[in-house]
Parts: sequence; C-alpha cells; structure tokens
Amino acid sequence: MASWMDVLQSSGPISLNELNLRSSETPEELVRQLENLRKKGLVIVTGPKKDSLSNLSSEEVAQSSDTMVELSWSGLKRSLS
Amino acid sequence: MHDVNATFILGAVLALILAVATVLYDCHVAVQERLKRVPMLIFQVPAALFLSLACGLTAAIAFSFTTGKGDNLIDSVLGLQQPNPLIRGAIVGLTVLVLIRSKISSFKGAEIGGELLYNSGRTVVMQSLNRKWRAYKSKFNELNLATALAFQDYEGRLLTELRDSLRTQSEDFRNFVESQIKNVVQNRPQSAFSATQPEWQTYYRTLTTLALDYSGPDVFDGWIQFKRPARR
Repeated sequence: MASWMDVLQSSGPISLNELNLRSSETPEELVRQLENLRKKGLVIVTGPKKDSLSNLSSEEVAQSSDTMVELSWSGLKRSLS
Repeated sequence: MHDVNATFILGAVLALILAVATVLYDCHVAVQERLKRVPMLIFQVPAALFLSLACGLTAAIAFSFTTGKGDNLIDSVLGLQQPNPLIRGAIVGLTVLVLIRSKISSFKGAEIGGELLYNSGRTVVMQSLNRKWRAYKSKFNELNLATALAFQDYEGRLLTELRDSLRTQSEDFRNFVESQIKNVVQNRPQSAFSATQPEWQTYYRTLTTLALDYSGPDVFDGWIQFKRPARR
C-alpha cells in the first residue's frame, strides 16, 4: 500500500485534510509520523496549526484544509546522502 | 574569430534551438523524477523558457568560439573536430549541458560553477511548475465542486474514467494509483450524503484532485458541465 510520503511526492503540497483522506494511516498515526519527519527536516508544514499538530483531534485533522504539507527535497536529499 | 556567413549563422541557430530543447527535456525528466506526475507541459512555465533560452544563448556563444580543429577550450571539451558548421552547431546544442555543468571547483561538497547555477535554475523551474499545477487544481476544484456534488454517481464515473485513462501506464504506476483510490474510498464519510457537509465537500475535492494528479485535466474530457480554468 502506498505510503503518504508517496502521495506527497506525487501530488506536491497538499492540505492536511486531503492527505488524511489519501493516507492509509489513522489521523493520529499520520500526525505522529508527520511530527517525526518534520523534526528530521523531511517534511514542511505550514498554516495556523503547524505548531500544534500533535494536539489535533481526528476531527480537526479531517477539517484542516488550511494546513499545508509538503516534502522538503533538500531534507530528503540530505538524509539520503 | 570566424567569417560570418549563412552556414555559420545557421549553425549558431541550430546550437541555440537544440540547446533549448535539451534543457527543456532535462527539466521535464527532473520533474518526473521528483513528482511522479505533473500533467502540465514544462514549456508552459516562463521560468523553464527563460532557463532554456539562457542555455541556448550560451550554446550559440560557445559555438561562435569553435573552429572544429580541436585547437581551443570549447573544441577540446566537446571533442569537436568537425569542420561542417551545421554538424558542429548541432553537437554544441546537444552537448551544451556538458559545458554549462562542468564543475570549476567544489566547496564543502557544493559544486561551484555552471552546475550550481544550472541546478538552482532547474529547482526554480520545478517549484514554479509545481506552484502552477497546484493553483490549477485549486481553481479547478473551486469552479467545479458544486457541479461535482450535484453529479449523479460522480465517484463511480470519475474512478472509471481515471482507470481507463491509465491503461497505457506501467503496472507499477497503476497499482500505486489503485492503492490511492482504495485509501480515499475507504475514508468516504460515514454520514448520509449532503452537498453542504464539509466532509463530503472535502471527499469530492480529494477525488477530483486524485484524478487530476494522476491523469491530468484530460480525464474530464467530455464532461461538458465541468469548466476548465484558464491556463495563464
């Protein structure tokens, strides 16, 4: 099953609620993984809720159309080198 | 320098045109590597035209320094021993990236020289294409969300069109899209359908974006109720 990283790679920047719909993870797991990868600099999150991702409920994730997620290509390149 | 004659000018023009084509192709390949699919042609982005034209001019200028005798820097870098200006122009145009991307030096792992400039230019092209494609998808959704919500069996028909349009794609790609469809459909709102409910609107928007991401605007060919955003 395609991971949400593949989704980011294929769609470019995407809103959190749409990423949630296209992901096979639960909203809680998606947010946990997002936070983890953001700390490593692999993912960029922008929008009003960018600093409180881990506090978001499933409901809030499903409605986060103003929070954008995208891959950090420089972070990805750094991590692979 | 050279005697400027018609054949020589034609050689320079050939170098320019082939260099422009080579750079556009290189940008296209880079976009395909990074973003699995951006169904928007690279030359629709002004940054791509600017970068390719700059490289084309570099090729034309480089060509003007060639003699075909292998007795100067450009001749020797490109291995040119070709007296015919037209063939020489074609070779310079097709191999201009070798010239541009030659590394002058490197500092802390970063290449200094044409490579650095070219890669930066290519990144700008990719970002600009990505931005343009994202804006197109948003605009498409904005124009057509209400129509989609009123469309009978939108999900079923769109997914059929999407699968049909991908028949010529590789099995890996089709499997990837199939897994995406499965994820989205699994997350269909549990509540009864209502066009005014935000979760149904998000669901329809996601279906539309999914189809656009993997098949491009052509997936909506024949859907006369759907409007196409003007491409700027």
